[in-house]
Amino acid sequence: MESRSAESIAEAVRAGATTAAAVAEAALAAIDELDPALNSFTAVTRARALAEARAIDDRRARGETLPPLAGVPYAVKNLFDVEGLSTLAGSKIRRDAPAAVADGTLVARMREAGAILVGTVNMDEFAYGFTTENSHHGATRNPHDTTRVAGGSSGGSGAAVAARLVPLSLGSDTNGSIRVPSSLCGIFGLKPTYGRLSRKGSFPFVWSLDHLGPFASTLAGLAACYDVLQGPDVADPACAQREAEPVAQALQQGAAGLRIARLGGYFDTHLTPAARAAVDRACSALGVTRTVEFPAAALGRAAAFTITASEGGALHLDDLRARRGDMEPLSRDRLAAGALLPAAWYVQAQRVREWYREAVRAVLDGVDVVIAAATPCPATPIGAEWLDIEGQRLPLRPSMGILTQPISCIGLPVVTAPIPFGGKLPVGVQIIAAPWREDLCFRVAASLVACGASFAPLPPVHA
Amino acid sequence: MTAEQIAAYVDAAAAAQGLAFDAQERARVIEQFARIAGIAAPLLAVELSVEAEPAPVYRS
Repeated sequence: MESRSAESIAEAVRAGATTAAAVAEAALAAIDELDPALNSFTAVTRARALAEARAIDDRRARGETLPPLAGVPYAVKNLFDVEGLSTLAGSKIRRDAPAAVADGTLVARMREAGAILVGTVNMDEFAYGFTTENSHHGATRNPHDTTRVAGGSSGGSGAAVAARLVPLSLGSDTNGSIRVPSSLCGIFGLKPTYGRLSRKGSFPFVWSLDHLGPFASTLAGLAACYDVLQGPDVADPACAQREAEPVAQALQQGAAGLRIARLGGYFDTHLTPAARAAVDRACSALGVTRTVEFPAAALGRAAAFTITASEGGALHLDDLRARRGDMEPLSRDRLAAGALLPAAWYVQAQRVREWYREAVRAVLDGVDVVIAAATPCPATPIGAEWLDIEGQRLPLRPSMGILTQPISCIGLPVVTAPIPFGGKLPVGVQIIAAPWREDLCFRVAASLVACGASFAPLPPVHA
Repeated sequence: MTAEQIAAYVDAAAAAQGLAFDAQERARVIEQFARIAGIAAPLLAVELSVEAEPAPVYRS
């Protein structure tokens, strides 16, 4: 497993122990061999990967200092602009869209960091879903049990990393779409503070809530990837234009002195026993004895749900009018209903969000990091419609984000850390901090990794 | 909102937005609208001061 991590690949390429070309060839071969069973890739960028790899090897041959992710293969959710490809955003309709003329900002930053793009990966159409059951391309399957979903909407990004087809991937998270697949696939994921990473050159879903971020098979890989993605970009109006605040060093600092609490209340009432066990294990490993609550978390989720329906519906109104038959059957009716919401509901949701944000900020004055489950359960069977939690029957697809929505609604940074249970399906925990304190999320995650409570388990195909 | 009010609202709003649904679609959209309305109801009951202003990006 270690030899496949982003940091070990970069080190081996830097040291000359292998070449970027050999790494790229191996990744492409693994995709050819293993992806048919997973259905995570929607395009393999073979020529680009080999060209980028050769360029890295040439730079090393010339004696240049290599950038931090030199030779590291990665994939991107197919809502990122990749020069020469149509940006699908999981849709059938956009198969006819003109090819992107340039890479999106984060793809360009990965390229500058020496990483090798091997392809684009599957997602729920227009990012509206938590399961990546894409009716046009087929469902992406969970590498730990291919009868189950990989989570969504960045399910391809999660499955490709979990199966070790790539050590890194990029995705987006509006209501949980990085954290849900991280949890169900048993890998590390980061949803940074809203406004931290540029979204320029990615297909939007809900402007008020859209975040981009990385996935990785190791925490060190996640930190290294995040550090190259940071920095201002005036081309994204929601980007906060902060200088990079690298976190790689934070991994060595430990969590001593940090005030860590378990998130109770709402976050403790939507859990299956497996998800509760993941939080128990993480909190036990960290010595957490304190519980805090985010007041009105249910209202935060309601605000996110309402804003999502309204902005998402409005964004796709033209397609809803003219090409509804080509849209995803699992989400088009929700989008249509969202397009009809009264404006006053939307404005109220935005204002409640601000009120809830200030209430949570007051809680975070008294604690540095809070821990909650990322999903209410482990991966569910493909096609499942309902989720039963503590006697309550909920529609599964919109409910898989019930624990993530109240956090992204107010833009807090979250590292999702996998908590494996030997032989059973993993569940991730959300490690949540105050705005702009991604470093604290990484310090706590590093403590879980150091004590063995968190790691990305190898799926059966590699066992 | 009652079920009848939701159905009437969906019909009127769909017409205003230029969306034409067949009977099956209409039923599904009404179901989805009712679900969103149920989730939004507690939100709409919150009393806010005029200072509660949408402001999604943290500046500090």
